[in-house]
Amino acid sequence: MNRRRGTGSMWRMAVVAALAAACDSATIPALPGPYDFRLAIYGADGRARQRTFHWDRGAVVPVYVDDEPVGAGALSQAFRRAVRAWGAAAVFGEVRLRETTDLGEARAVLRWHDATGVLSTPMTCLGPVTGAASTLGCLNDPRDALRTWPRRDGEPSQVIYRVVIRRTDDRELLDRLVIHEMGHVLGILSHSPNPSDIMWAGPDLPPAPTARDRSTLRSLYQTPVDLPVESASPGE
Amino acid sequence: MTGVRVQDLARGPGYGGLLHLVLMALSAASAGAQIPLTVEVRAGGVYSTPFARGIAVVPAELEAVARDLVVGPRPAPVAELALAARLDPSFALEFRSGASIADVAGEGGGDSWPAGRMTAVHILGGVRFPLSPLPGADVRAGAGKVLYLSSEVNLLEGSGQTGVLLSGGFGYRLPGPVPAIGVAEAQWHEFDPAALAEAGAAAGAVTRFLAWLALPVGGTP
Ligand SMILES: [Zn+2]
Repeated sequence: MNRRRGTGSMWRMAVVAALAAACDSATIPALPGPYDFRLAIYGADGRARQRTFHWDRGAVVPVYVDDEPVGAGALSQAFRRAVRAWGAAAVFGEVRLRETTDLGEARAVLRWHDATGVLSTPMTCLGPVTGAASTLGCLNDPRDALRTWPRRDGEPSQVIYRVVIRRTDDRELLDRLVIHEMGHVLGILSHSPNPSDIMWAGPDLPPAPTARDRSTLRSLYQTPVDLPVESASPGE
Repeated sequence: MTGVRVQDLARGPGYGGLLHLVLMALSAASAGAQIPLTVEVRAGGVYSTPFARGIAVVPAELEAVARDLVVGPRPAPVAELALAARLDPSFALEFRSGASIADVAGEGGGDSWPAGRMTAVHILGGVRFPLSPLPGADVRAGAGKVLYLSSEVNLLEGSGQTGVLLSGGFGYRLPGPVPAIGVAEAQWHEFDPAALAEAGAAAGAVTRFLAWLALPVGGTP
């Protein structure tokens, strides 16, 4: 008799636990509002249009890290920290970066500024390269889509962004620069107006994406794309 | 990727080893005390409530929406090995450990997307009582731990920390020549890694609903 009562109370506890779980509604911490993540593209009429680009939701974006020694150099290490930093921001699995040694599948190339590089540089992809780092994409002729960046060896390319970092011995600075540039690769194509964010354009970047940076990435991946990637890879 | 996943699984070596020790100790004890032991292989499916919820705010200039987001595992197959020691006709202890490999998905705005694959490894200790009015039926409860391991799921990388796993369920000896037992179970655990809160997401708790078919594969009389 006693034992049966024990069984019943244990079962009741299990049911209560299950019900408590089913009714559980944890408070969702609020993130600050996002900043504008769009790219201003100037048309022939001189007017700027704001365009949104991001990868397909759930995409794993392969990045070719052109480093020496391959996979063990400072640039590769900084890239891996950037993968973790943005991974921690995209908790709903919106997007993820990964390193690839296969240039054929790469969607971005990361290299030092003084390396020869695996991409050729057509005039349409040139832009101002100033400061410590840059991320560049190529626009098609009507300037309404991103086109793939041609490879130096003439093989087919899927590369959309070329990221160049000036050499530095300052590992912390390098990490922050690479995180910032990878923010562009993920689709944050403008800069935060707030100097404390990783996507601010100035020096003294924070060590990791801030709550505002995370909020911006999350918001970006819920916004429809109107700057697509041109499907065919055009010849040079 | 294979290498990485092997490393992932190696992060929970203590649990497999612990189960092995428990099984050995139980076998030795039962041999001495003539306690009937049953080894069961169980296979089934698991459905889990989401790991995390959050809100995405799309600026007014673009769409002016606040979109609810969730991320969690899709229903997946699960398998485990269990050892039950019947200490008394109306009371049995059981130890069990198993795993499931599940795809994780994000959802929001009526859309869903893949968020990587994970391995969930669980280990539990518990009790079973026959449900006397219903021959062949029993009620079960237990506690243990579940670990979520992945090098692909952003949410779980470097965290995936869970609290104590509580479990309750029913077993029923299915009619037929094979001595199979059907089990329905609910498991519950806290899930709130610091990384989640920092990222503006919350889960609080996760409930896993499991349905098993258990087959005794060995034991002592
Ligand atoms: Zn920038």
